[in-house]
Amino acid sequence: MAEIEISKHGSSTTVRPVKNIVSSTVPDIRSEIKALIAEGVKDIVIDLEMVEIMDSMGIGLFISAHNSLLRAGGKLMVINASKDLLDLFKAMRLDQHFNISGS
Amino acid sequence: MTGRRGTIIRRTYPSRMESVDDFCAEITQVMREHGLTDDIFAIELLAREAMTNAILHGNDCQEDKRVCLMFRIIKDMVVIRITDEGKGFTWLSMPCCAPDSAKASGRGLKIYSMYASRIAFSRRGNSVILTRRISGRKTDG
Repeated sequence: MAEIEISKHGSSTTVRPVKNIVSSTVPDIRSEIKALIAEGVKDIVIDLEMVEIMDSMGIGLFISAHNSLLRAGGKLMVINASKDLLDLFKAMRLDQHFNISGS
Repeated sequence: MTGRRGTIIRRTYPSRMESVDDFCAEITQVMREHGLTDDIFAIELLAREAMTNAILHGNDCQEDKRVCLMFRIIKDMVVIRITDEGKGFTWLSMPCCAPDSAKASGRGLKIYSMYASRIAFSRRGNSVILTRRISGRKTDG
C-alpha cells in the first residue's frame, strides 16, 4: 500500500507521506525513496503536512535519505513540519545536516 | 478503567509493529478524552519508542513473544510501563551522551530523556517505566 504521494516540481521531486513516519510505515517509505534515488532523482523535498508524529526509526530514515542523496550529489529538504516535529528535528540536530522548515 | 487510582489501561500484544499503532491509537484517544492534548505528542512518542524497542530488541520481532503494557493517568502524571520477554539489557552501563547526529540509529534513549520526567528500568532491563509530568492538569485520581 502506498504510504506516500510523489510529485515533480522542476528539478526536484516532492515526497508527501500520507501516514505517520513510524516503525510500521518506515520500511515502505524507505523503499519508495530508495527507488527514486536509484532512478536518478537528486533533489528530494519531503512534505510533512500530513505527518503528526515520527519516531526514532523515522528520524533514521531522514538521515539515510540525506546520506544517499549527498553521495549522489543531491540534497534533501523537509517542509511543513509541525512545531512538535520541528522541535524533535532540532533536538536531534538534524537541522545541521539539511534544510527543515515549519508549516 | 477509571477509579480512585486514576485511569489504567493494561494490554498484551504480539511482537509486530502494527501493535504499536494499535496501542498508540487507544492511548491517544484516552488522552483526548482527558483533555491532555498538549502532551499527546510526547506521550505517544515515548510509547512508540519503548514499544518498538521491546519488539525489536527485547523480543527479536518473534510474534509469539508478547509485549505487556500498562498506561496510567494519575493526578498530574502519565505513566507507561512496557515489558518484553527478552533477556533484558545492562541499562546501568548505557551511554548518557547525545547520539551522533549523522548516524541513522541510536536515538531511542535520547528521546526518553527529552520527553519523560523519569525513566526507570527493572533490574533485568526487560521492563521500562516512563513517567511524564503534565502541566496544568486537573487532579482526578
